[in-house]
Amino acid sequence: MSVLGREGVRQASRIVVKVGSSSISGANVDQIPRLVDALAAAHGRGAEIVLVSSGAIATGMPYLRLDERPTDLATQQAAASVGQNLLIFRYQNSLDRYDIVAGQVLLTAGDLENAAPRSNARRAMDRLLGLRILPIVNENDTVATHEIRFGDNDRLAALVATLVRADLLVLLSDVDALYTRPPHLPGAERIENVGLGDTLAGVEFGASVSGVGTGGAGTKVSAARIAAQAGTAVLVTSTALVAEALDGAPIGTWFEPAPPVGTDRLS
Amino acid sequence: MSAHERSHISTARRIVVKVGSSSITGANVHQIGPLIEALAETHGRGAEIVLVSSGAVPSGMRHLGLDERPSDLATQQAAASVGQNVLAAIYRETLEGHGIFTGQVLLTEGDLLNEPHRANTRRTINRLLDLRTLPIVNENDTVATHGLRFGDNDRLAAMLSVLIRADLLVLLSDVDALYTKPPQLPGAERIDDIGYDQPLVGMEFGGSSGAGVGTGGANTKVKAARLAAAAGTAVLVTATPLAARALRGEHLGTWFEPAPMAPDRILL
Repeated sequence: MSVLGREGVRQASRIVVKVGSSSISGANVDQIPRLVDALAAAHGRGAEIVLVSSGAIATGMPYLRLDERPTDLATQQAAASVGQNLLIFRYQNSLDRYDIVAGQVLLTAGDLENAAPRSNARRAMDRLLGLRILPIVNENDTVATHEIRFGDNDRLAALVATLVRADLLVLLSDVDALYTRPPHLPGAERIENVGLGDTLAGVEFGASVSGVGTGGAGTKVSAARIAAQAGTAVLVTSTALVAEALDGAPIGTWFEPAPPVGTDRLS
Repeated sequence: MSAHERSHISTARRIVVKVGSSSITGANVHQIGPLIEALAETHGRGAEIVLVSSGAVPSGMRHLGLDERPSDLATQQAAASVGQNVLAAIYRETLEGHGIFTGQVLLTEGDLLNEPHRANTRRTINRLLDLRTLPIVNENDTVATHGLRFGDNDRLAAMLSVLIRADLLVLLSDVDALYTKPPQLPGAERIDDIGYDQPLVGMEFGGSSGAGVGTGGANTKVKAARLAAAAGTAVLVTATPLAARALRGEHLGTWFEPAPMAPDRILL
């Protein structure tokens, strides 16, 4: 895995794309085909793509006749159970246009933390990618308990990116980049680049506002750091800009990756 | 609570139905429709149903261009990853036609053995049942390793039945009942019922079903049935095409009498 710069995005051979719940469910369920178009384009030029998708709970909610996100764990898990297959089906429906087959991968934190299931999950993912299948990964919300949850799919995506040694991780949400403060506040400035040692001092990151997912700028930064420190470049941008992102356009916030161990960093 | 006698099957409140790979995929894929009808009918009379369904690997094989079950673990997992979507979608779409919503539940052994996972699994399945959805359960093939696998969904179904205190567990496969020896051998006799404390002497239960698709067999069914029956869940072993008739209470298959339960039911 080489150090990827923004100019190398179109040549990235293994890419993890993470999309948040609010970008592809509820009012935004029609964003799925656009997202799939961009993934298929990258897949079509030979890149190996992994999609980490939230949205199982939001997808299942209407079937339980819930208008608001459930607050008790058992109902959340029931909603995830009902919504997960339907979510995958919506992606597969869209992927059919490109003859791309999706595989579902549901993980818990334990699967990635303990050696045996971890190497097992890596081999399974490698095999899926080798077969040109698009793995669609999610936390196994239906069985994961509060104590052992990943916390948010941003972190899951970063851990998956390091597991499969991705060149690039793209974290998509409703905001086009990271800003020095919540973007609706006066004085907020777009952050273009985050160097490996950059502590982002003085930056004010908020939590999620959409009420549907659990992420936010803070979780994205933490996740981006995990991946970047392990050698995966990270781009944070909006789902609406996914095609531009995978095309290497100068958008979003770029996190410079650590060089592989044993090599000299080129300045 | 449990269906102590066969006659109680048609009024059993909480039922786990387990179906094996070979009876709903490949040459038997036409059997999945009638099975779903049987589940819908039973749900319709007010029963709570959980389906444990194998078949993810064979359902995915076609999409990987495979004719035979893959022998290496990683390819099996890749096939399961694709096939689980296919299988769950068939159940979801067909049952939705009956106004029944399904929920997918992928488990590993730890989710049924260790706390806090065990209690969490119980609460989630109970919540799904309260909401009148039909949980479709399978082992999480994509991440389970050889060392941790249930080995076959018979055991998973039995452990799940005990966990959620099911009245009845129905184990469905290609054979209409259990026999004293593999049914194709001379002298094999059909077993009608097995008492909860009845020793099984002089019986020869085969291993793998031989169909080359699934991993179960009479032996695994007997072990699973005894586990569930000892914990107070009645068990019926029969063939998938007989599911509707079995759930209506017809006298068929092999019945495992449940152990009488103390007021505080012993959970494994």
